[in-house]
Amino acid sequence: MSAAARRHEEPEMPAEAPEAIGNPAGTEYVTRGARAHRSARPHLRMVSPLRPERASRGVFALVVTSVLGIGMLSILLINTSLAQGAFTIGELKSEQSALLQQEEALTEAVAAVAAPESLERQARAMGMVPSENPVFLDVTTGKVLGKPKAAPGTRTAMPRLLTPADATAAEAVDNGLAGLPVGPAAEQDPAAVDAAAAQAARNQEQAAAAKKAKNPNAENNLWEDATVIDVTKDLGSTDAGLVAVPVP
Amino acid sequence: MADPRKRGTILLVVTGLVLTVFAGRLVELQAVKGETLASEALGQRMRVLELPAQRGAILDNAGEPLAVTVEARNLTADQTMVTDPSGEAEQLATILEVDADVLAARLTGDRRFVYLAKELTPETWGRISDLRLPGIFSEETSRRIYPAGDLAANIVGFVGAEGTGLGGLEYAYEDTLTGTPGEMRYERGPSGGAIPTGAQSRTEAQPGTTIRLTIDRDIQFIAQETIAQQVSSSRADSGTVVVMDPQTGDILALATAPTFDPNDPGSADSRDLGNRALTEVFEPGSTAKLMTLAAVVNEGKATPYSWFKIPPVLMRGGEDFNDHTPHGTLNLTLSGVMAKSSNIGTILAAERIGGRKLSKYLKKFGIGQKAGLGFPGEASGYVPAYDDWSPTSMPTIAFGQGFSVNAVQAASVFATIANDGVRLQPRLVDELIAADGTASTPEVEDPTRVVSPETASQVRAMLEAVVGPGGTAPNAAIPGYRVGGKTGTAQAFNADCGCYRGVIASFIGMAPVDAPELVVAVFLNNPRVGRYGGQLGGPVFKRVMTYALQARQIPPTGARFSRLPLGG
Repeated sequence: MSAAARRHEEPEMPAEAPEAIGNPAGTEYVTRGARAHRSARPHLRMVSPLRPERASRGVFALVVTSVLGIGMLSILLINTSLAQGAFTIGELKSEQSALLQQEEALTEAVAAVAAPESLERQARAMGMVPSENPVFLDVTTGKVLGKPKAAPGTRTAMPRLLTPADATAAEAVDNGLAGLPVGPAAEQDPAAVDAAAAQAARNQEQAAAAKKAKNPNAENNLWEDATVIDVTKDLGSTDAGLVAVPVP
Repeated sequence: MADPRKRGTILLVVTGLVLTVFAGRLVELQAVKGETLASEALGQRMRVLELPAQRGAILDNAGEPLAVTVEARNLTADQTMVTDPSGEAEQLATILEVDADVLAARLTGDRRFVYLAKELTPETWGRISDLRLPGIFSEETSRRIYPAGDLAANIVGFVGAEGTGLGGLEYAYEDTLTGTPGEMRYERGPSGGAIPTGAQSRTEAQPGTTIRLTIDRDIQFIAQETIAQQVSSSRADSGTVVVMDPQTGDILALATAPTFDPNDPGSADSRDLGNRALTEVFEPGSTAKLMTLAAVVNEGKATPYSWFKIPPVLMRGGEDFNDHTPHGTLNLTLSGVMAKSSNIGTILAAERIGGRKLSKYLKKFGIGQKAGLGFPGEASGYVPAYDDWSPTSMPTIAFGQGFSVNAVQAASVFATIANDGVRLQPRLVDELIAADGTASTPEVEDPTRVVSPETASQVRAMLEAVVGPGGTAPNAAIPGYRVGGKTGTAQAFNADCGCYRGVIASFIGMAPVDAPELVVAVFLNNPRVGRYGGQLGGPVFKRVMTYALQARQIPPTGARFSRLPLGG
């Protein structure tokens, strides 16, 4: 290898030493030639070799080895990181599919609970009945459209209605999931949820007490004279406005 | 062989030959078969994984799911890897809730692949996989679920074990709902994982198109529940309710009873799997008088106030025609004919326009043509061509016998009157929503005018008289609303005996009658308790209509009731 390299370099200096072409020991020729033309030359001196041959070979080997080493090392690193990436992809994919499955299961559960049949069952369990005569209130004119009529069936004490906050909190406790992010409502301060629930209970107690005071005999007839509901009174006292209060 | 030179030559020749063979083989492997072999080798490393396409969902008009596809797992086993069949079967049986012995039998043997259970939920598979049982594996699959159970089951249909639609819209829209499966190709290392630097390609699956129906699942639920109750209390063979929005032709509910649970179609009677409202035809009976009387009014041959002298019996084509209740000679207005559902009065009115015109009007109302809902097995009904009419055809057809319709066609006739005389093609599929979110609406026929708006309005006033005092269906009235409708008690043709046996009791009505927003049609096939359409269909109509009016937020118009003179 080094010999070939030398041969390439030699043609660069033909003017100085034409005789040296093809001779590895160029120094001697130069000296001999000089002697032939100028016989009386006082002193000779050593010309250093054209290349520091031994050292060059060592450096070269070092360079090549290190290039090779670095190359191998980087291939190793790249492969490792690719493999690592493949593992990460695998892990993330399984995590993704687990989450997707969880989402699907939850969606399925919600869909089953929200199906009309299940809603009707729950509503009936709460003592609700289907309305037999549609009645509308025209908000602009205040006119009642349709013929209002009491719903059929036996009257029962109105079950305490839950605010969304109540429901979420209760459900979370039921499922042993208290504190987990089960929905937007759960982000509320638990103290506020408790306060809202307490407020709702108080509202109902007050209403019932007021009702009792006015008409002590009509314990269960909460709807008897509830045809006019003062919507301005209690709206806004709880966040959801779902606390229905018959006003005496 | 003593000569070393000769030996050398032989050696040279032999070596040469061997090398030539080697070279030839090299050329063959590299140049001739090179590509084939390389691809074979790649094939050994390359795994192709099919990525199943998700089947499109079926939604109601508010986007609530009626049919959706979810992930599932099939439980499989490699019998050669199972070490303790009975022990593993025991553990699996508690989770799968099946007989351990059956499972143990499936775990014993030397088959490399057997199914143990199909379509498990991912959670169930999670519990099984946590047991780390040797030889137990799973494969990914999907499961079609109907979250609302039997709700709209007769419309949506059901799928078979392979997940392909076998009934209803699942069947009719099979190609639309099925997506294009994708595939993943990768080079697999000895450990089974993908080689990161190897060739990889992934073609994503194209999910199927989602179908949004015109069905309102809340109204559908009430309709289904109400008709099921009435079918059982009247001990009828079956019953149907159709709810339509006359202004759009949208079918809001299409309920039949008995029905089935699409999550388990195998356990249902095969006759309950179709949609009776579309596949079964019957002679409409008195509800068809609406067409006859509307035609007469539209032709200007009578008004709701025109008087008719109704004899006790009318002879036409050699046969006696009479009314459902015997009477002496009556004087009825055209409104009275409608309100009291007089066959004789209807024949007399129809004679003012003649059979040819009557047959033309029936055709314009869509009788004898498919409603065009694209439903499998949808019937078109049958009406004889006018040229084939016998002398008794005209009187029979005038009051709704001698031709057949399905429930949707019958409801569509009333929807036409409700829509001021313009017939719209009934719609069941509102939108097809492709995987990329683009929605397209199925094309419908152009609206056609059947009768003038004035005629429609006059006929509606006559329909109101039916639910008013003296009409045949006072129990269909809804307090506060102006309601109109028509009863029908038609003789039902029984294919088994080839004779008329039993009746189809029906009531079709609309509200509010002065500006109709809803049409509800009720049919009861062969009731054994009760007989008349008003008596059996009226209450069902009332309950479904009452609910639908509230659900669609349709307040009463507040207009006064019309009181047409009926006569008597």
